Amino acid sequence: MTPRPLLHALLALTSAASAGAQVTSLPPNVTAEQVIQLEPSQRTWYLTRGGELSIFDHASGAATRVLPGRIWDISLSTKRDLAVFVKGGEAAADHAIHIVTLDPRTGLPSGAERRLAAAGDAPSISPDGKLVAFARDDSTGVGQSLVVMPVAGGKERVIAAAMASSIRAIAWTPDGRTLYFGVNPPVPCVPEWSCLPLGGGQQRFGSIRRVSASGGDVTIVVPRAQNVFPGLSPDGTTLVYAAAGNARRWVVANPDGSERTTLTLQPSQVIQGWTGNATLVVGETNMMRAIRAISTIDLSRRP
Amino acid sequence: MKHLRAAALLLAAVTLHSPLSTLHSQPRYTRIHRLTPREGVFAYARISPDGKRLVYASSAMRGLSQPEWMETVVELASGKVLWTGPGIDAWWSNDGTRIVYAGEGGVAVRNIDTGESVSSPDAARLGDYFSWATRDGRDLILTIQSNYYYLDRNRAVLPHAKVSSCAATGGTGERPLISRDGRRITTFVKGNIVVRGLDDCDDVVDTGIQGGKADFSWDNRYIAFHAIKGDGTGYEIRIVDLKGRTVRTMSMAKGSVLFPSWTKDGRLCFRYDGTDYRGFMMASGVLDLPATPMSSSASPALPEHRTWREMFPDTPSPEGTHVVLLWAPWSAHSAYAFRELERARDWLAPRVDRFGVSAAADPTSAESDVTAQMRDFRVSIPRITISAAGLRLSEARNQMPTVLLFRDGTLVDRRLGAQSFDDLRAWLSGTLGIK
Repeated sequence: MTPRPLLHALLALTSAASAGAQVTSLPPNVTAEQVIQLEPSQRTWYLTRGGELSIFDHASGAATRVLPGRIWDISLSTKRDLAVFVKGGEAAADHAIHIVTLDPRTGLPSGAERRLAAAGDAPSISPDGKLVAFARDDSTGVGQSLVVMPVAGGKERVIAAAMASSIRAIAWTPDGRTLYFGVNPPVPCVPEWSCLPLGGGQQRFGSIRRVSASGGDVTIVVPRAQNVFPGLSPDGTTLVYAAAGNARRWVVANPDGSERTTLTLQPSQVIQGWTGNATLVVGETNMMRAIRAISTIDLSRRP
Repeated sequence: MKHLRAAALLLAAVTLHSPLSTLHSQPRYTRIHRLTPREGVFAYARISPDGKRLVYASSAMRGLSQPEWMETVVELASGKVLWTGPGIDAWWSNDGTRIVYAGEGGVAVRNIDTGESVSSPDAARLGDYFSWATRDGRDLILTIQSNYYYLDRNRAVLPHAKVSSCAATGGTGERPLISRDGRRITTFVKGNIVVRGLDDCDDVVDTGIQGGKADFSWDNRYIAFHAIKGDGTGYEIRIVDLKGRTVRTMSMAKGSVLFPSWTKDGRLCFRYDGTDYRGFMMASGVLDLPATPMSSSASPALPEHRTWREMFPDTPSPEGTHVVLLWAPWSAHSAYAFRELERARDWLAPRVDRFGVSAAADPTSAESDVTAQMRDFRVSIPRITISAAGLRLSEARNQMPTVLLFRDGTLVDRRLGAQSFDDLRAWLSGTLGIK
């Protein structure tokens, strides 16, 4: 482990809610652009710059490709026996959800990949591994709806219809009864000077919402967020999102949206997601946006 | 029969004298290409001259990856993607066979039918934001930096030429786009759209309107561009008749319309962003919209003479040279603008007597957002306040960030957009006579 990324990562963590950052550096043979899942001292699942899912085995130091091709929005089942992900198509904006079974021992595919749903993003496997929730494009190009369907294929159920923008960070509560999901801020005009800025009063934000997995009313839990990712922790106890108006200040909140504390990250730090119960995974990136070290922050509530 | 005649006369009278009789036809709108909810579009798309193909640069957020801008050419009738590749700022040739764009090899010209692509790496430094004309039978490319060059077999012929400076516009103007015949350009002067000659200063037309990219119609008579709606909630398209000196407004209640481009037969392609649809549309019959005199649409002109007291009445007017950064938390360029200005300050302070720098935030932004960002950016530039009235007196009313230069309390110059250290050094050195 090189000292500089370790020191940098440790110094960069401020106002952490509770103990300890752990830091793991990645060797040069691992060209990770995003960490998908971290099993400390065992395996790190990551996406390469080319969009391939790979595994780094910490014990052997070997990096193995799991899934080729340009894929993104990967969800692994709790038992590590299933992977659901998004794959592009011919046009730049094409995307569909695919699924493949994995051998939990090796992390490698144990069956053929198949297409599960068209025009979908951000899939999330339920805790029991039987259902997948994902975001489906609406026909207007404006927003997405939250959809649930069986992993084995079959009928889709719309759980939350026609959100005002795209959906991200879909998460199941541990009992599988409730879904949390983020609605992204509207796509901005780029470059903003070319559009003529409308002014701060017209700025719109993302939000985090909650709905029963069987459908029903959608509740807004966090009404104003700059970035709705990573959202709800796997144990359902903690929400993390970027504060409105400040993409580097992150709010740590309870599942009802009440704030507990904040985290401030450095420009080189990028939140990768969750691991374990409520452990935040933070990637320390270099100038090329490749991850050179991974740190974790345990946000679980102590009794 | 008598009753029928009377009824007909009555109907005619009502029709002639009722407001309905003065109603113009409305344009006809067609949705031509839908975006996906995560797809962002860079600036705007360009419709091909025949209206059958659309080219646009877009990116879609995928996981945590930095989105890459990809140009896509779509055949509208079938929806088929004819080509896609990394790049931005595509513009069609007048014959509709090729596009020029900023690609991986610099300035690229691609033939969409044959797939042939020619790169001119040396032309990349002259700027992007291209527009394409055919002048005296030759292909001419104009760039954002007011540079232009001809093409020979799709390759840039250098050295380039520069848009001439005009006293009427105080210089070349900024961010020009060229007419199809290569004679006229639309450009920006103090934020207003101005039409003038590419290489002469004849017939300068100041529309008095603050708008986005302004595209010439194929007969060079009209320009179309988007502007902010009167209530500030979104965008509408203005069509200026340069000959008749009138303005038509195309507005949609449920959303914004942006970045129009003309077909040869007078239809207008544009982006629509609303709660009911996101994507590209085509409007025909836009000249059926009612026209009003151009002067009535003009934004209030910024006065030539503006003082510190008028813009920052709560802050004592500094003596000497003072630079103010007008910025907003919602602008993605603010952090960069602060950083570069701090570098410029540190370079200039030892060289300029009585020199100072301040920053003022958009008064419509939430105070919590402003203070949080200033803390996170670790700004060492003192903060001053500007009111909404003060902001209206600056070019920043339509662009953030903006940098203002004051001399003994009088505004002497400004720069729109985030300025690099090199830009600031060159500008201020030149203005202040620093060697």
